[in-house]
Amino acid sequence: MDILASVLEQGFIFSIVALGVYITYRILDFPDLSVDGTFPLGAAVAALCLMKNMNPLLSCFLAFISGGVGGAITGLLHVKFKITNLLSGILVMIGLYSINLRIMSRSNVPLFGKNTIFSGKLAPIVIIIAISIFVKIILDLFLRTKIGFALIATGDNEQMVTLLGLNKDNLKILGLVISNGLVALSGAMMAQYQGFSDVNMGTGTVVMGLAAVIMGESILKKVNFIKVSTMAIFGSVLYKAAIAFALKLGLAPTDLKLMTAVIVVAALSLNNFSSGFKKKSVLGGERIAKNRESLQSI
Amino acid sequence: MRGLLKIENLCKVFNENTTNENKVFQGLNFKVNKGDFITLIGSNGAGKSTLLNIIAGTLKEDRGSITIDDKNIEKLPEYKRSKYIGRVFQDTSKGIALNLSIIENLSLAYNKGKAFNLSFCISKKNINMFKEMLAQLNLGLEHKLNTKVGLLSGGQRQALCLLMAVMHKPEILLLDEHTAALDPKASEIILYLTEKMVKENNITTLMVTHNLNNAVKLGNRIIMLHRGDIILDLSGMEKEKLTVDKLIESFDKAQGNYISDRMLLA
Repeated sequence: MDILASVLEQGFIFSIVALGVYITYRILDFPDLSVDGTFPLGAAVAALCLMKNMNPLLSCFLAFISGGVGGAITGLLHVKFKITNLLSGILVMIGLYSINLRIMSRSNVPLFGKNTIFSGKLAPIVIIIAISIFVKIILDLFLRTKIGFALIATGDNEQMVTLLGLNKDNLKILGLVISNGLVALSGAMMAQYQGFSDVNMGTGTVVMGLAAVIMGESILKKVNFIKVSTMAIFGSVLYKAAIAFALKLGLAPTDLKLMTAVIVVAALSLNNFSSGFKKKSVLGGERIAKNRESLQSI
Repeated sequence: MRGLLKIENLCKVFNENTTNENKVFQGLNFKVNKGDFITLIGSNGAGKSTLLNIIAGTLKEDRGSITIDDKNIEKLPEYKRSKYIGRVFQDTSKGIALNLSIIENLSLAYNKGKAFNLSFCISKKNINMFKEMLAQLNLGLEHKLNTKVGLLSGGQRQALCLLMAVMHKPEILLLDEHTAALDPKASEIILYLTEKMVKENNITTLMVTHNLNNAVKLGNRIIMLHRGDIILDLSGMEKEKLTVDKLIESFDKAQGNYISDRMLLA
Protein backbone atom coordinates (compact mmCIF):
# COMPACT_ATOMS: atom_id res chain seq x y z
CA MET A 1 0.00 0.00 0.00
CA ASP A 2 2.88 2.28 0.86
CA ILE A 3 4.45 1.60 -2.50
CA LEU A 4 1.24 2.38 -4.34
CA ALA A 5 0.85 5.69 -2.51
CA SER A 6 4.42 6.78 -3.20
CA VAL A 7 4.16 5.70 -6.85
CA LEU A 8 1.05 7.84 -7.24
CA GLU A 9 2.55 10.79 -5.35
CA GLN A 10 5.83 10.80 -7.25
CA GLY A 11 4.08 9.96 -10.50
CA PHE A 12 1.75 12.94 -10.25
CA ILE A 13 4.53 15.33 -9.16
CA PHE A 14 6.52 14.14 -12.12
CA SER A 15 3.54 14.38 -14.47
CA ILE A 16 4.06 18.16 -14.45
CA VAL A 17 7.56 17.60 -15.85
CA ALA A 18 6.00 15.31 -18.44
CA LEU A 19 3.55 18.08 -19.43
CA GLY A 20 6.45 20.51 -19.79
CA VAL A 21 8.52 18.09 -21.84
CA TYR A 22 5.43 17.39 -23.94
CA ILE A 23 5.28 21.10 -24.90
CA THR A 24 8.87 21.26 -26.11
CA TYR A 25 9.43 17.75 -27.40
CA ARG A 26 6.04 17.07 -28.97
CA ILE A 27 4.43 20.43 -29.75
CA LEU A 28 7.49 22.51 -30.63
CA ASP A 29 9.70 19.63 -31.79
CA PHE A 30 12.47 21.17 -29.70
CA PRO A 31 14.67 18.70 -27.75
CA ASP A 32 15.11 20.92 -24.72
CA LEU A 33 17.79 19.69 -22.32
CA SER A 34 17.66 22.78 -20.11
CA VAL A 35 14.97 21.05 -18.03
CA ASP A 36 17.80 19.12 -16.35
CA GLY A 37 18.82 22.50 -14.96
CA THR A 38 15.41 24.10 -14.39
CA PHE A 39 14.09 21.18 -12.32
CA PRO A 40 16.70 21.71 -9.53
CA LEU A 41 16.40 25.47 -10.13
CA GLY A 42 12.75 25.26 -9.08
CA ALA A 43 13.78 23.19 -6.06
CA ALA A 44 16.52 25.66 -5.15
CA VAL A 45 14.29 28.71 -5.44
CA ALA A 46 11.56 27.03 -3.41
CA ALA A 47 14.12 26.00 -0.76
CA LEU A 48 15.45 29.55 -0.54
CA CYS A 49 11.94 30.96 -0.18
CA LEU A 50 10.94 28.40 2.45
CA MET A 51 14.12 29.05 4.46
CA LYS A 52 12.97 32.67 4.58
CA ASN A 53 9.57 31.39 5.83
CA MET A 54 7.63 32.53 2.78
CA ASN A 55 4.20 31.21 1.90
CA PRO A 56 4.76 27.77 0.28
CA LEU A 57 2.35 28.42 -2.60
CA LEU A 58 4.08 31.70 -3.33
CA SER A 59 7.39 29.81 -3.27
CA CYS A 60 6.03 27.42 -5.89
CA PHE A 61 4.92 30.36 -8.00
CA LEU A 62 8.36 31.99 -7.76
CA ALA A 63 9.93 28.66 -8.73
CA PHE A 64 7.66 28.60 -11.79
CA ILE A 65 8.80 32.12 -12.74
CA SER A 66 12.48 31.23 -12.29
CA GLY A 67 12.09 28.20 -14.54
CA GLY A 68 10.40 30.41 -17.11
CA VAL A 69 13.40 32.73 -17.09
CA GLY A 70 15.69 29.73 -17.65
CA GLY A 71 13.54 28.62 -20.58
CA ALA A 72 13.58 32.13 -22.03
CA ILE A 73 17.39 32.09 -22.00
CA THR A 74 17.44 28.77 -23.87
CA GLY A 75 15.03 30.26 -26.40
CA LEU A 76 17.01 33.48 -26.82
CA LEU A 77 20.26 31.53 -27.34
CA HIS A 78 18.52 29.54 -30.04
CA VAL A 79 16.58 32.19 -31.95
CA LYS A 80 18.82 35.24 -31.48
CA PHE A 81 22.28 33.72 -31.53
CA LYS A 82 21.30 30.86 -33.85
CA ILE A 83 22.81 28.22 -31.55
CA THR A 84 21.32 24.78 -32.29
CA ASN A 85 18.41 23.81 -30.06
CA LEU A 86 20.27 20.89 -28.48
CA LEU A 87 23.33 22.97 -27.60
CA SER A 88 21.27 25.92 -26.28
CA GLY A 89 19.63 23.56 -23.81
CA ILE A 90 22.93 22.00 -22.76
CA LEU A 91 24.52 25.41 -22.20
CA VAL A 92 21.65 26.58 -19.99
CA MET A 93 21.72 23.29 -18.10
CA ILE A 94 25.44 23.60 -17.37
CA GLY A 95 25.16 27.27 -16.44
CA LEU A 96 22.24 26.62 -14.12
CA TYR A 97 24.28 24.10 -12.12
CA SER A 98 26.45 26.91 -10.78
CA ILE A 99 23.47 29.22 -10.34
CA ASN A 100 21.61 26.59 -8.34
CA LEU A 101 24.63 26.21 -6.04
CA ARG A 102 24.71 30.01 -5.62
CA ILE A 103 20.99 30.09 -4.75
CA MET A 104 21.27 27.30 -2.17
CA SER A 105 24.82 28.28 -0.98
CA ARG A 106 25.55 24.56 -0.61
CA SER A 107 24.77 21.39 -2.50
CA ASN A 108 21.98 20.17 -0.21
CA VAL A 109 19.39 22.14 1.77
CA PRO A 110 17.13 20.17 4.16
CA LEU A 111 13.60 21.54 4.57
CA PHE A 112 12.52 19.62 7.66
CA GLY A 113 10.41 21.65 10.02
CA LYS A 114 9.69 24.30 7.42
CA ASN A 115 6.17 25.25 6.41
CA THR A 116 5.62 23.52 3.02
CA ILE A 117 2.61 22.87 0.80
CA PHE A 118 2.34 19.50 2.57
CA SER A 119 2.26 20.97 6.12
CA GLY A 120 -1.53 21.30 6.15
CA LYS A 121 -4.07 18.70 7.22
CA LEU A 122 -4.69 17.35 3.71
CA ALA A 123 -2.89 14.18 2.64
CA PRO A 124 0.03 14.86 0.28
CA ILE A 125 -1.56 12.78 -2.46
CA VAL A 126 -4.64 15.05 -2.51
CA ILE A 127 -2.55 18.20 -2.80
CA ILE A 128 -0.31 16.71 -5.48
CA ILE A 129 -3.19 15.44 -7.62
CA ALA A 130 -5.05 18.73 -7.22
CA ILE A 131 -2.05 20.75 -8.43
CA SER A 132 -1.24 18.47 -11.36
CA ILE A 133 -4.89 18.32 -12.52
CA PHE A 134 -5.08 22.10 -12.20
CA VAL A 135 -1.95 22.48 -14.35
CA LYS A 136 -3.30 20.00 -16.90
CA ILE A 137 -6.64 21.81 -17.23
CA ILE A 138 -4.97 25.22 -17.58
CA LEU A 139 -2.62 23.81 -20.23
CA ASP A 140 -5.47 22.16 -22.14
CA LEU A 141 -7.43 25.41 -22.10
CA PHE A 142 -4.36 27.38 -23.15
CA LEU A 143 -3.77 25.10 -26.13
CA ARG A 144 -7.27 25.88 -27.38
CA THR A 145 -6.71 29.63 -27.43
CA LYS A 146 -5.48 31.55 -30.45
CA ILE A 147 -1.98 31.82 -29.09
CA GLY A 148 -2.07 28.14 -28.09
CA PHE A 149 -2.96 27.15 -31.63
CA ALA A 150 -0.23 29.41 -32.95
CA LEU A 151 2.19 27.51 -30.70
CA ILE A 152 1.02 24.15 -32.05
CA ALA A 153 1.28 25.45 -35.62
CA THR A 154 4.85 26.65 -34.93
CA GLY A 155 5.93 23.10 -34.18
CA ASP A 156 4.02 21.84 -37.18
CA ASN A 157 4.93 24.35 -39.86
CA GLU A 158 7.03 27.46 -39.20
CA GLN A 159 6.43 28.79 -42.69
CA MET A 160 2.69 28.80 -42.12
CA VAL A 161 3.06 30.73 -38.87
CA THR A 162 5.14 33.33 -40.74
CA LEU A 163 2.42 33.54 -43.38
CA LEU A 164 -0.08 34.29 -40.62
CA GLY A 165 2.01 37.33 -39.74
CA LEU A 166 3.27 35.86 -36.47
CA ASN A 167 6.83 35.88 -35.17
CA LYS A 168 7.80 32.23 -34.88
CA ASP A 169 10.84 33.09 -32.73
CA ASN A 170 8.70 34.66 -30.02
CA LEU A 171 6.34 31.71 -30.08
CA LYS A 172 9.23 29.29 -29.60
CA ILE A 173 10.46 31.31 -26.63
CA LEU A 174 6.94 31.32 -25.19
CA GLY A 175 6.77 27.54 -25.45
CA LEU A 176 10.13 27.17 -23.70
CA VAL A 177 9.09 29.59 -20.95
CA ILE A 178 5.91 27.64 -20.19
CA SER A 179 7.66 24.28 -20.41
CA ASN A 180 10.57 25.18 -18.12
CA GLY A 181 8.24 27.01 -15.76
CA LEU A 182 6.23 23.83 -15.30
CA VAL A 183 9.37 21.74 -14.84
CA ALA A 184 10.63 24.15 -12.15
CA LEU A 185 7.23 24.01 -10.44
CA SER A 186 7.55 20.24 -10.37
CA GLY A 187 11.06 20.60 -8.93
CA ALA A 188 9.72 22.86 -6.18
CA MET A 189 7.03 20.32 -5.32
CA MET A 190 9.54 17.47 -5.33
CA ALA A 191 11.87 19.31 -2.94
CA GLN A 192 8.99 19.88 -0.50
CA TYR A 193 7.79 16.30 -0.91
CA GLN A 194 11.14 14.68 -0.17
CA GLY A 195 12.07 17.28 2.43
CA PHE A 196 15.26 18.58 0.88
CA SER A 197 16.62 20.29 -2.21
CA ASP A 198 19.70 18.81 -3.85
CA VAL A 199 21.77 20.32 -6.66
CA ASN A 200 21.99 16.92 -8.38
CA MET A 201 18.30 16.09 -8.32
CA GLY A 202 17.83 17.22 -11.94
CA THR A 203 20.06 14.67 -13.62
CA GLY A 204 18.09 12.81 -16.26
CA THR A 205 14.92 14.90 -15.91
CA VAL A 206 14.52 15.26 -19.66
CA VAL A 207 14.84 11.53 -20.28
CA MET A 208 12.39 10.71 -17.51
CA GLY A 209 9.93 13.26 -18.85
CA LEU A 210 10.33 11.79 -22.32
CA ALA A 211 9.83 8.30 -20.96
CA ALA A 212 6.55 9.40 -19.41
CA VAL A 213 5.29 11.16 -22.56
CA ILE A 214 6.21 8.29 -24.85
CA MET A 215 4.91 5.55 -22.56
CA GLY A 216 1.61 7.36 -22.19
CA GLU A 217 1.29 7.86 -25.92
CA SER A 218 2.23 4.35 -26.97
CA ILE A 219 -0.22 2.77 -24.56
CA LEU A 220 -3.14 5.16 -24.94
CA LYS A 221 -2.85 6.31 -28.55
CA LYS A 222 -5.58 3.93 -29.69
CA VAL A 223 -8.07 5.63 -27.39
CA ASN A 224 -9.32 8.61 -29.36
CA PHE A 225 -11.06 10.71 -26.74
CA ILE A 226 -8.10 10.88 -24.35
CA LYS A 227 -6.16 14.13 -24.51
CA VAL A 228 -2.40 13.96 -24.93
CA SER A 229 -1.95 15.77 -21.62
CA THR A 230 -3.85 12.96 -19.90
CA MET A 231 -1.58 10.48 -21.64
CA ALA A 232 1.46 12.31 -20.27
CA ILE A 233 0.13 12.15 -16.70
CA PHE A 234 -0.75 8.49 -17.09
CA GLY A 235 2.67 7.77 -18.59
CA SER A 236 4.37 9.50 -15.69
CA VAL A 237 2.57 7.38 -13.09
CA LEU A 238 3.26 4.28 -15.16
CA TYR A 239 6.94 5.16 -15.38
CA LYS A 240 7.22 5.56 -11.62
CA ALA A 241 5.39 2.23 -11.21
CA ALA A 242 7.86 0.54 -13.55
CA ILE A 243 10.75 1.94 -11.53
CA ALA A 244 9.18 0.83 -8.25
CA PHE A 245 8.66 -2.61 -9.75
CA ALA A 246 12.30 -2.78 -10.80
CA LEU A 247 13.38 -1.88 -7.26
CA LYS A 248 11.04 -4.55 -5.89
CA LEU A 249 12.74 -7.07 -8.14
CA GLY A 250 15.96 -6.34 -6.36
CA LEU A 251 17.70 -3.89 -8.67
CA ALA A 252 19.98 -1.42 -6.90
CA PRO A 253 18.86 2.26 -6.91
CA THR A 254 22.08 3.00 -8.77
CA ASP A 255 20.77 0.97 -11.71
CA LEU A 256 17.70 3.16 -12.13
CA LYS A 257 19.17 5.52 -14.75
CA LEU A 258 20.00 2.53 -16.91
CA MET A 259 16.46 1.26 -16.40
CA THR A 260 15.11 4.61 -17.52
CA ALA A 261 17.24 4.54 -20.66
CA VAL A 262 16.05 1.02 -21.45
CA ILE A 263 12.42 2.02 -20.91
CA VAL A 264 12.75 5.00 -23.28
CA VAL A 265 14.47 2.89 -25.94
CA ALA A 266 11.81 0.20 -25.65
CA ALA A 267 8.90 2.66 -25.77
CA LEU A 268 10.39 4.64 -28.67
CA SER A 269 11.21 1.61 -30.80
CA LEU A 270 7.82 0.04 -30.14
CA ASN A 271 6.14 3.33 -30.98
CA ASN A 272 8.01 3.73 -34.26
CA PHE A 273 7.50 0.13 -35.20
CA SER A 274 3.74 0.18 -34.87
CA SER A 275 3.21 3.57 -36.51
CA GLY A 276 5.77 3.15 -39.29
CA PHE A 277 3.18 2.19 -41.85
CA LYS A 278 0.81 4.89 -40.77
CA LYS A 279 3.33 7.67 -41.33
CA LYS A 280 3.94 6.62 -44.91
CA SER A 281 0.32 7.13 -45.82
CA VAL A 282 0.61 10.89 -45.29
CA LEU A 283 2.70 11.13 -48.42
CA GLY A 284 -0.34 10.64 -50.63
CA GLY A 285 0.29 9.10 -54.05
CA GLU A 286 -0.34 5.44 -53.57
CA ARG A 287 -2.91 5.96 -50.87
CA ILE A 288 -4.90 8.40 -52.95
CA ALA A 289 -4.82 6.07 -55.92
CA LYS A 290 -6.20 3.26 -53.76
CA ASN A 291 -8.76 5.39 -52.02
CA ARG A 292 -11.84 5.69 -54.19
CA GLU A 293 -13.44 8.33 -52.05
CA SER A 294 -10.61 10.80 -52.42
CA LEU A 295 -10.37 10.04 -56.13
CA GLN A 296 -13.97 10.99 -56.58
CA SER A 297 -13.69 14.10 -54.53
CA ILE A 298 -10.89 15.50 -56.65
CA MET B 1 -3.80 52.62 -62.70
CA ARG B 2 -1.35 53.18 -59.92
CA GLY B 3 1.54 50.90 -59.15
CA LEU B 4 0.79 48.64 -56.25
CA LEU B 5 4.10 46.82 -56.03
CA LYS B 6 7.21 48.62 -57.19
CA ILE B 7 10.66 47.10 -57.36
CA GLU B 8 13.50 49.43 -58.19
CA ASN B 9 17.11 48.62 -58.97
CA LEU B 10 16.96 45.18 -57.38
CA CYS B 11 20.31 43.44 -57.01
CA LYS B 12 20.89 39.99 -55.61
CA VAL B 13 24.05 37.93 -55.75
CA PHE B 14 24.40 34.46 -54.27
CA ASN B 15 27.81 33.35 -52.92
CA GLU B 16 29.43 36.71 -53.63
CA ASN B 17 33.19 36.67 -54.26
CA THR B 18 33.41 32.90 -54.50
CA THR B 19 33.84 30.66 -57.52
CA ASN B 20 30.14 29.83 -57.25
CA GLU B 21 29.12 33.47 -57.53
CA ASN B 22 25.71 33.74 -59.12
CA LYS B 23 24.40 37.18 -60.03
CA VAL B 24 20.66 36.65 -60.15
CA PHE B 25 19.49 40.26 -60.40
CA GLN B 26 21.55 43.24 -61.48
CA GLY B 27 19.24 46.21 -61.29
CA LEU B 28 15.82 44.81 -61.99
CA ASN B 29 13.00 47.35 -62.29
CA PHE B 30 9.45 46.20 -62.28
CA LYS B 31 6.01 47.50 -61.44
CA VAL B 32 2.79 45.65 -60.72
CA ASN B 33 -0.45 47.57 -61.15
CA LYS B 34 -3.41 47.14 -58.87
CA GLY B 35 -5.66 44.37 -60.17
CA ASP B 36 -2.98 42.82 -62.39
CA PHE B 37 -2.94 39.06 -62.75
CA ILE B 38 0.59 38.43 -63.97
CA THR B 39 1.93 35.08 -65.13
CA LEU B 40 5.67 34.89 -64.70
CA ILE B 41 7.63 32.49 -66.87
CA GLY B 42 11.27 31.79 -67.61
CA SER B 43 13.78 28.98 -67.73
CA ASN B 44 15.26 27.41 -64.62
CA GLY B 45 17.59 29.80 -62.89
CA ALA B 46 15.98 32.86 -64.42
CA GLY B 47 15.17 34.21 -60.97
CA LYS B 48 11.41 33.69 -60.78
CA SER B 49 11.29 32.03 -57.38
CA THR B 50 14.07 34.26 -56.07
CA LEU B 51 11.97 37.27 -57.05
CA LEU B 52 8.94 35.97 -55.15
CA ASN B 53 11.10 35.10 -52.14
CA ILE B 54 12.60 38.59 -52.12
CA ILE B 55 9.16 40.21 -52.33
CA ALA B 56 7.91 38.03 -49.46
CA GLY B 57 11.05 38.63 -47.41
CA THR B 58 12.25 35.02 -47.24
CA LEU B 59 15.40 36.18 -49.00
CA LYS B 60 17.08 39.51 -48.41
CA GLU B 61 18.00 41.62 -51.41
CA ASP B 62 21.51 43.08 -51.62
CA ARG B 63 20.33 46.43 -52.93
CA GLY B 64 17.19 48.05 -54.27
CA SER B 65 13.83 49.14 -52.97
CA ILE B 66 10.53 47.33 -52.72
CA THR B 67 7.34 49.24 -52.05
CA ILE B 68 3.78 48.06 -51.63
CA ASP B 69 1.18 50.84 -51.81
CA ASP B 70 4.03 53.38 -51.58
CA LYS B 71 5.18 51.89 -48.28
CA ASN B 72 8.76 50.68 -48.16
CA ILE B 73 8.77 47.08 -47.04
CA GLU B 74 12.39 46.06 -47.58
CA LYS B 75 13.24 46.60 -43.92
CA LEU B 76 10.24 44.61 -42.63
CA PRO B 77 10.91 41.01 -41.57
CA GLU B 78 9.07 38.29 -43.42
CA TYR B 79 6.35 37.81 -40.83
CA LYS B 80 5.42 41.50 -40.87
CA ARG B 81 5.20 41.57 -44.66
CA SER B 82 2.64 38.77 -44.43
CA LYS B 83 0.12 41.47 -43.60
CA TYR B 84 0.15 42.52 -47.26
CA ILE B 85 1.03 39.23 -48.87
CA GLY B 86 -0.68 35.89 -49.41
CA ARG B 87 1.36 32.95 -50.65
CA VAL B 88 0.84 29.49 -52.05
CA PHE B 89 3.84 27.23 -52.66
CA GLN B 90 4.61 24.31 -54.92
CA ASP B 91 4.99 22.10 -51.86
CA THR B 92 1.43 21.42 -50.74
CA SER B 93 2.50 21.02 -47.12
CA LYS B 94 4.09 24.46 -46.78
CA GLY B 95 1.01 26.62 -46.35
CA ILE B 96 -0.91 24.52 -43.85
CA ALA B 97 -0.33 22.74 -40.54
CA LEU B 98 -0.57 19.03 -41.39
CA ASN B 99 -1.28 17.83 -37.87
CA LEU B 100 -4.19 20.21 -37.38
CA SER B 101 -7.68 19.66 -38.73
CA ILE B 102 -9.29 21.64 -41.55
CA ILE B 103 -11.29 23.77 -39.15
CA GLU B 104 -8.23 24.48 -37.00
CA ASN B 105 -6.25 25.58 -40.05
CA LEU B 106 -9.09 27.77 -41.27
CA SER B 107 -9.53 29.30 -37.82
CA LEU B 108 -5.84 30.19 -37.72
CA ALA B 109 -6.06 31.79 -41.16
CA TYR B 110 -9.25 33.58 -40.16
CA ASN B 111 -7.43 35.19 -37.24
CA LYS B 112 -4.57 36.48 -39.39
CA GLY B 113 -3.96 40.10 -38.64
CA LYS B 114 -5.96 39.97 -35.41
CA ALA B 115 -4.46 39.80 -31.95
CA PHE B 116 -3.37 36.27 -31.07
CA ASN B 117 -4.48 36.41 -27.47
CA LEU B 118 -6.04 34.07 -24.94
CA SER B 119 -9.49 33.96 -26.51
CA PHE B 120 -10.49 30.62 -27.97
CA CYS B 121 -9.31 30.01 -31.51
CA ILE B 122 -12.25 28.01 -32.80
CA SER B 123 -15.49 29.86 -32.49
CA LYS B 124 -18.74 28.00 -33.16
CA LYS B 125 -20.30 30.95 -34.89
CA ASN B 126 -17.68 30.76 -37.64
CA ILE B 127 -18.34 27.13 -38.50
CA ASN B 128 -21.13 27.88 -40.96
CA MET B 129 -19.04 30.54 -42.65
CA PHE B 130 -16.15 28.07 -43.04
CA LYS B 131 -18.53 25.46 -44.43
CA GLU B 132 -19.77 27.92 -47.03
CA MET B 133 -16.21 28.80 -48.02
CA LEU B 134 -15.31 25.12 -48.36
CA ALA B 135 -18.50 24.36 -50.30
CA GLN B 136 -17.39 26.85 -52.94
CA LEU B 137 -14.31 24.73 -53.57
CA ASN B 138 -16.66 21.90 -54.59
CA LEU B 139 -14.29 19.24 -53.21
CA GLY B 140 -16.54 17.96 -50.46
CA LEU B 141 -14.26 19.38 -47.78
CA GLU B 142 -17.19 20.98 -45.97
CA HIS B 143 -18.07 17.50 -44.64
CA LYS B 144 -14.55 16.85 -43.37
CA LEU B 145 -14.06 19.79 -41.01
CA ASN B 146 -12.42 17.66 -38.34
CA THR B 147 -10.16 15.69 -40.66
CA LYS B 148 -6.45 16.26 -40.22
CA VAL B 149 -5.10 18.18 -43.19
CA GLY B 150 -2.25 15.68 -43.56
CA LEU B 151 -4.78 13.07 -44.63
CA LEU B 152 -6.08 15.11 -47.57
CA SER B 153 -4.87 14.68 -51.15
CA GLY B 154 -2.44 17.15 -52.67
CA GLY B 155 -5.19 18.84 -54.66
CA GLN B 156 -7.45 19.22 -51.65
CA ARG B 157 -4.57 20.61 -49.59
CA GLN B 158 -3.65 23.11 -52.25
CA ALA B 159 -7.26 24.25 -52.55
CA LEU B 160 -7.25 24.79 -48.79
CA CYS B 161 -3.95 26.71 -48.99
CA LEU B 162 -5.43 28.92 -51.67
CA LEU B 163 -8.55 29.54 -49.62
CA MET B 164 -6.46 30.44 -46.57
CA ALA B 165 -4.17 32.71 -48.60
CA VAL B 166 -7.02 34.79 -50.04
CA MET B 167 -9.28 34.74 -46.97
CA HIS B 168 -8.01 38.12 -45.86
CA LYS B 169 -7.82 39.63 -49.33
CA PRO B 170 -4.08 40.31 -49.35
CA GLU B 171 -2.74 43.27 -51.32
CA ILE B 172 -0.79 40.84 -53.42
CA LEU B 173 -0.97 37.09 -53.91
CA LEU B 174 2.23 35.20 -54.76
CA LEU B 175 1.78 31.79 -56.38
CA ASP B 176 5.00 29.85 -56.84
CA GLU B 177 4.31 27.00 -59.29
CA HIS B 178 1.42 26.07 -57.07
CA THR B 179 0.08 23.40 -59.43
CA ALA B 180 3.42 21.83 -60.38
CA ALA B 181 3.20 19.02 -57.84
CA LEU B 182 -0.36 18.03 -58.72
CA ASP B 183 -1.77 15.55 -61.21
CA PRO B 184 -3.34 17.08 -64.36
CA LYS B 185 -6.91 16.87 -63.11
CA ALA B 186 -6.16 18.40 -59.71
CA SER B 187 -3.97 21.01 -61.37
CA GLU B 188 -6.88 22.01 -63.60
CA ILE B 189 -9.20 22.34 -60.62
CA ILE B 190 -6.70 24.45 -58.69
CA LEU B 191 -6.15 26.76 -61.66
CA TYR B 192 -9.89 27.16 -62.07
CA LEU B 193 -10.23 27.97 -58.37
CA THR B 194 -7.30 30.37 -58.54
CA GLU B 195 -8.87 32.31 -61.39
CA LYS B 196 -12.25 32.35 -59.69
CA MET B 197 -10.96 33.52 -56.31
CA VAL B 198 -8.66 36.14 -57.79
CA LYS B 199 -11.48 37.54 -59.91
CA GLU B 200 -14.11 37.51 -57.18
CA ASN B 201 -11.88 39.26 -54.69
CA ASN B 202 -10.02 41.39 -57.24
CA ILE B 203 -6.63 40.39 -55.85
CA THR B 204 -3.42 41.48 -57.51
CA THR B 205 -1.60 38.27 -58.35
CA LEU B 206 1.84 37.17 -59.41
CA MET B 207 1.91 33.57 -60.59
CA VAL B 208 5.06 31.67 -61.48
CA THR B 209 4.47 28.78 -63.84
CA HIS B 210 6.36 26.44 -66.15
CA ASN B 211 3.24 25.57 -68.05
CA LEU B 212 3.17 27.90 -71.06
CA ASN B 213 -0.45 26.99 -71.85
CA ASN B 214 -1.52 28.25 -68.45
CA ALA B 215 0.74 31.28 -68.74
CA VAL B 216 -0.97 32.27 -71.98
CA LYS B 217 -4.47 31.39 -70.88
CA LEU B 218 -4.54 32.99 -67.43
CA GLY B 219 -4.12 36.58 -66.38
CA ASN B 220 -3.98 39.92 -68.11
CA ARG B 221 -0.22 40.29 -68.28
CA ILE B 222 2.70 37.98 -68.98
CA ILE B 223 6.33 38.52 -68.04
CA MET B 224 9.27 36.44 -69.16
CA LEU B 225 12.40 36.51 -67.06
CA HIS B 226 15.75 35.49 -68.40
CA ARG B 227 18.92 35.62 -66.36
CA GLY B 228 17.45 38.19 -64.04
CA ASP B 229 16.08 40.49 -66.73
CA ILE B 230 12.60 40.99 -68.08
CA ILE B 231 12.81 40.10 -71.77
CA LEU B 232 9.09 40.08 -72.47
CA ASP B 233 6.28 42.06 -70.85
CA LEU B 234 2.94 41.95 -72.60
CA SER B 235 -0.45 43.02 -71.36
CA GLY B 236 -3.92 43.79 -72.64
CA MET B 237 -4.54 43.06 -76.33
CA GLU B 238 -0.95 41.97 -76.95
CA LYS B 239 -1.28 39.35 -74.23
CA GLU B 240 -4.58 38.14 -75.65
CA LYS B 241 -3.08 37.67 -79.11
CA LEU B 242 -0.14 35.72 -77.72
CA THR B 243 0.08 32.01 -78.52
CA VAL B 244 2.19 29.27 -77.03
CA ASP B 245 4.16 28.98 -80.28
CA LYS B 246 5.11 32.64 -80.19
CA LEU B 247 6.16 32.26 -76.61
CA ILE B 248 8.40 29.31 -77.37
CA GLU B 249 9.95 31.36 -80.15
CA SER B 250 10.89 34.11 -77.70
CA PHE B 251 12.11 31.48 -75.30
CA ASP B 252 14.41 30.01 -77.93
CA LYS B 253 15.62 33.43 -78.93
CA ALA B 254 16.58 34.20 -75.36
CA GLN B 255 18.33 30.88 -74.97
CA GLY B 256 20.07 31.45 -78.30
CA ASN B 257 21.44 34.80 -77.20
CA TYR B 258 22.67 33.18 -74.06
CA ILE B 259 24.54 30.50 -75.95
CA SER B 260 26.11 32.95 -78.36
CA ASP B 261 27.24 35.07 -75.42
CA ARG B 262 28.90 32.05 -73.96
CA MET B 263 30.53 31.20 -77.28
CA LEU B 264 31.90 34.70 -77.63
CA LEU B 265 33.36 34.57 -74.16
CA ALA B 266 34.90 31.19 -74.84
